[in-house]
Amino acid sequence: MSNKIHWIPPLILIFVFIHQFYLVQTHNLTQWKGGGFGMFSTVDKQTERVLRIYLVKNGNLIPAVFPFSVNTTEAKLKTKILPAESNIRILHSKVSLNNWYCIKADSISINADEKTCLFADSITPKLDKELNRNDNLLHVDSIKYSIESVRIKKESNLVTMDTISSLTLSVSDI
Amino acid sequence: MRFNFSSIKYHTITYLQDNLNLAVILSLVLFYFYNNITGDIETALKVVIVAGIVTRTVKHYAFWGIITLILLVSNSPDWYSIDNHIYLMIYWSFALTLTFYSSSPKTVLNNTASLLIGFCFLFATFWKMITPEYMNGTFFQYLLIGGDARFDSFALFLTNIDVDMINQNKNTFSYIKGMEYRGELETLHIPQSTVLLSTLLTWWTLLLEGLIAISFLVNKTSAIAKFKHYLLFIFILTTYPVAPVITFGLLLVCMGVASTKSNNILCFYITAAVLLIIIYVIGLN
Repeated sequence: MSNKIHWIPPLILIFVFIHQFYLVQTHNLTQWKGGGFGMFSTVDKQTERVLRIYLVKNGNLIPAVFPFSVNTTEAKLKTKILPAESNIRILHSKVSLNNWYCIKADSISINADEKTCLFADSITPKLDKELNRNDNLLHVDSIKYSIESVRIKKESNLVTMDTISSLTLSVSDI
Repeated sequence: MRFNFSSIKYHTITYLQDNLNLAVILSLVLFYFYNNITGDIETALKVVIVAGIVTRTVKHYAFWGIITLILLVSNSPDWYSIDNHIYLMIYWSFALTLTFYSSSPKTVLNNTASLLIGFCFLFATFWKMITPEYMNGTFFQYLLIGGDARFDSFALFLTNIDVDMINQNKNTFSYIKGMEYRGELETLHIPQSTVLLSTLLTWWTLLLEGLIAISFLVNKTSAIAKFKHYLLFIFILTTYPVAPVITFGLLLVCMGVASTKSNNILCFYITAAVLLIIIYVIGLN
């Protein structure tokens, strides 16, 4: 055993690599993370991934601004890095606690000519009332989570976002 | 009381000529200053390191075992979010634990260091080879046209891309990641000179990392193994001035030191460590 002791740290490194390779292939873990030394091999790192959420009401998808808080920010980062169903469900358990109100998108400096939804901050009910948020509250059926990644098309110098993972979860499904 | 400076100088040089001592000293510098952890846990780590130095137990397996445990516990909640060099730090502190537990520490550390460097570069090469986006040059193009701010100066200096093009590309990347984006294709500014440079960087990196992997993993008597430290030295000097990940660079220096007995090569590594710290402190990139 003593003459093979030097193999223990490299064997752990190999094991972590195999696990990381498995997660990249099966759960869209970004190659940059997970201890497999895949950094600087792809554009698809966590900063080039976007997590979009859509509120689902009567089958219609309404884009929503991601609710900002310490809890959701950490869960969002983990989901972007590893968009496995388990991580999306953890994120959903935090996001679905919010109330939502919807306004014209251009009124919050988003120039999309659609309705956009914001989360109503449950810790400031007084402010909600002042802003008439309660009049615009939306009772959603479910929330769709879509994780997208930057894709550069080399031949045409074009760039777009590709969906790498998406999941729709009912608000009662927490 | 009179100090005998020539005696101190002699003992210091003799001490540092031992690659095991030098690897431990550089590792202590790395773990104390560039540990990538914060708050109370970082304080605990620093207290352990200072206690180890004061009590002269930095070459005891329990000392490195505690450091390994601190790094493992502090990083485990974010296991998939941490950078690759944090994993390597944990392997390295564990390697030092086993080294001082064994009856032949120099041999164990030498072999472990070579294997860790070899496999680290082997897997880095593997990921690049199986990723079409890397092999067709798109990845380095993305870095050079504004995808990574660390490469902006490098691209401006070596290609005919200008600041306006880089800023327009950055705006495009921001736009497609924003709320307004509805799935349309956007055009990037990619001058031909960035295509040429990205092709060169793609193959240079792949070749260098592949050669480092092979040279550290093959039999030590083989021809390529004789160049392994020079290859690693070239990698450190050409990579970290552009992408200054000080922790990764210093880790490679520590492992490089542990895997050589040549005084000349030890001097190379000390020079590399000093350069890395200077680059990091003055923010050369």
